[in-house]
Amino acid sequence: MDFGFSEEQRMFAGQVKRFAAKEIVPRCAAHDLAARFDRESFSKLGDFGILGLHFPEEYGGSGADVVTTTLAGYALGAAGVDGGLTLSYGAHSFLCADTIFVHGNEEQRRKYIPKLAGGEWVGAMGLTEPGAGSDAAALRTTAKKTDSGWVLNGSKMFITNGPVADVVLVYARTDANDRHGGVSAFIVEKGTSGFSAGKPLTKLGVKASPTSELFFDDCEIPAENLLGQQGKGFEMALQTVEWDRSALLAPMVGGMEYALAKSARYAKQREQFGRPISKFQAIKRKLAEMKIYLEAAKGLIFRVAWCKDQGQSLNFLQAAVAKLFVGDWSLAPSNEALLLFGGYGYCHEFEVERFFRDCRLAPIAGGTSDIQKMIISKML
Amino acid sequence: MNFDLSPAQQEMVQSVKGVLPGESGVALAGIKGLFAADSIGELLDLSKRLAATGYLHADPGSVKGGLLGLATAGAALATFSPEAFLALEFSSRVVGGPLAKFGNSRDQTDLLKKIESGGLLAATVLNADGLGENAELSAVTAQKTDQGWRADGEAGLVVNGPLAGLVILPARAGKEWVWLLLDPTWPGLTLGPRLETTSLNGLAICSLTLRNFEVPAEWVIGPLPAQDVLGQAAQMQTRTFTICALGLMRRSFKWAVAGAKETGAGGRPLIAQQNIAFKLAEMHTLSDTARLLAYRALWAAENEEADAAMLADCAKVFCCEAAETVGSQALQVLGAKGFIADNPAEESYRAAKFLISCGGSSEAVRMNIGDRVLATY
Repeated sequence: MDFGFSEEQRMFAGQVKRFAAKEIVPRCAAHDLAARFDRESFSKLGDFGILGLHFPEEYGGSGADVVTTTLAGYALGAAGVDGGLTLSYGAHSFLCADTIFVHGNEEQRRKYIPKLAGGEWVGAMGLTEPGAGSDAAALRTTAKKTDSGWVLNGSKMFITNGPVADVVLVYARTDANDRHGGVSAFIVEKGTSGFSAGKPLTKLGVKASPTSELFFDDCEIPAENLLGQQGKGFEMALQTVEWDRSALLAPMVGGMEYALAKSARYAKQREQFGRPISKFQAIKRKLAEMKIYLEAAKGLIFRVAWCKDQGQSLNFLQAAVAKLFVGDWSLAPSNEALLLFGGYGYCHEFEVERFFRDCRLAPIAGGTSDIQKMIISKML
Repeated sequence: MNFDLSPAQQEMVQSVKGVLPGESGVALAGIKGLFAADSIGELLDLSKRLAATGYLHADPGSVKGGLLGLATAGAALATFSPEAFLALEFSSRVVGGPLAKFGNSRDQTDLLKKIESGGLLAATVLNADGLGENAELSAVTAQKTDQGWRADGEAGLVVNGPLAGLVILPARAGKEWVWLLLDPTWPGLTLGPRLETTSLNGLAICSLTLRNFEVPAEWVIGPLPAQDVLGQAAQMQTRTFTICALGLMRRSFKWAVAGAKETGAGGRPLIAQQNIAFKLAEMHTLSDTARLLAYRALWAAENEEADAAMLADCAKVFCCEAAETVGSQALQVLGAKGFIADNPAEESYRAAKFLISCGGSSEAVRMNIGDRVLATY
């Protein structure tokens, strides 16, 4: 066993943290408050190389491994980047771009990956539907074959980046009689006739990540927009789980480091009863709770990342444990951070309330905690 | 980065499992009653068999698979019998550690050899500081004399005390500290009766009193800075309890899963009920997360990482509290079966309470973590 990062990885994480602290973080609060996607920061992530970090250089990436990519996500969170921007990054780079890269043909790769890796285009993934959430295979959006391509009909719900996406990876049913094998993946570009996005949904947290419904009304796409083989869509969606449980969760875990640092600094300067509140056992206890959770969560996400780097087939059990722990067990320490700040913690300008709100998505998105428990218990 | 056990670490685990009686390492019944007052022979027998694997080496660096190899093997032993694990860990590492690191006389070298070969069981004082932030490990003091050292004082909880052939105690010597090596048969040393405990009933614990007790110079290690005595003792016990917690968790979890798979009311196994299945999923999540955190903390210690002490504290609190939670939930899953005394889940649950309150209580260790966090930022 070896839990260490290479010197190169540590240095890179430091660079990401410094870049984010200088270029991104100062813009986060305003965008969160306005519930507005920060396109400029998103482009900066692309310019810095974050969005396409793991893609080969010939497609505009840096060829980084999964652990390094996960570490970069952690560094973004630790720098104080809001959960909204990092969620948009995750949906864009891993759920959309990576799936196109892994399953696309060379023409599709050349067409989409450089633009997505550089941040010129924003990507999204459309899987969830109003009637197909945890039961993703129940999706009802259809794709019918025509002489010239495919026609999509239906709608998608809770789509991260939906309102701003230039390209959407859409999962649709191509065989009504085959629950899992009847799902296929399609690439739909913004401006395609019959495709539209709903208004951004108003949410509790991750506010700077725009979320909306997507509508497909006799949406015609060319035959070459089918991704991979027909009927393999559900498998493709499942394969995003490794990214979802490592690099996509990483900013949320990194965010705990940011909240911890802010809380410790605040505790040292905030005085009550004639002394800094850091002198009180109750405050030290809160800091300890946050730190213990943080260290426990770290190992889980990097284990999933490392296994993917080794080319191991997805370990559903380990992935579910990571998702469940980060989701459910993050709620208490994020609450501790909020409480440590007292009344100030309830105010937007101290940022911990944003972290508190953003964490609330962890047990819901990408497979709820209950679904993770179902997966784990079936494997015992 | 590598999350797999190395071949050497795997070999160490298999070696230790191989010498455990019954089903290798997963015999949930444990060794009940092994340490009744007159069963030192059985303990030394197990000790000698483990010694043949290298498991009893005081210096983890000299063991196959290093500290992680020892820890994974130790967790397997603790799954089998938490009492056996604790008794031998206190003897070989908590006592053997300072002997290996600071021992400099022939007597000390000989004693260490006997411990490592499984021929001698050693005892030392338990870190039972309760909830205090600044509690000291030992109330024994030592003064230098012409012939050696004179010691006075009491130690409340001495692990292995009633069975041991050697006792090692930290004692305050002015501003510094010494390790006193004591033969329990020497006059002036009084061991109290074996204490009745609420859990880990096979672990032999007693009090110890020294009155004007003369210790030959060659049986004293030090004087040393407090960190080398108290710090070392606390670190070893933190590590010991963390590993023991992994074993306890595995013990109660396996028992709960086995119970849940048996047919319940209505002809369906309990695990078919979402209420039970989800509880087991939470227990597995805690166990798996704890294991990973514990191993990372041990890796950090082995590699002298800057955050090793912090990680060790985080692992102690998380793993020991997780062991209590998993034990409690196991009892819930088992229902009436869990209510019957002497099943592994209830034993583990009671033992976990002990791990939380001793070896650095959760409250005291949390304060350490809080202080370190404040010093970091």
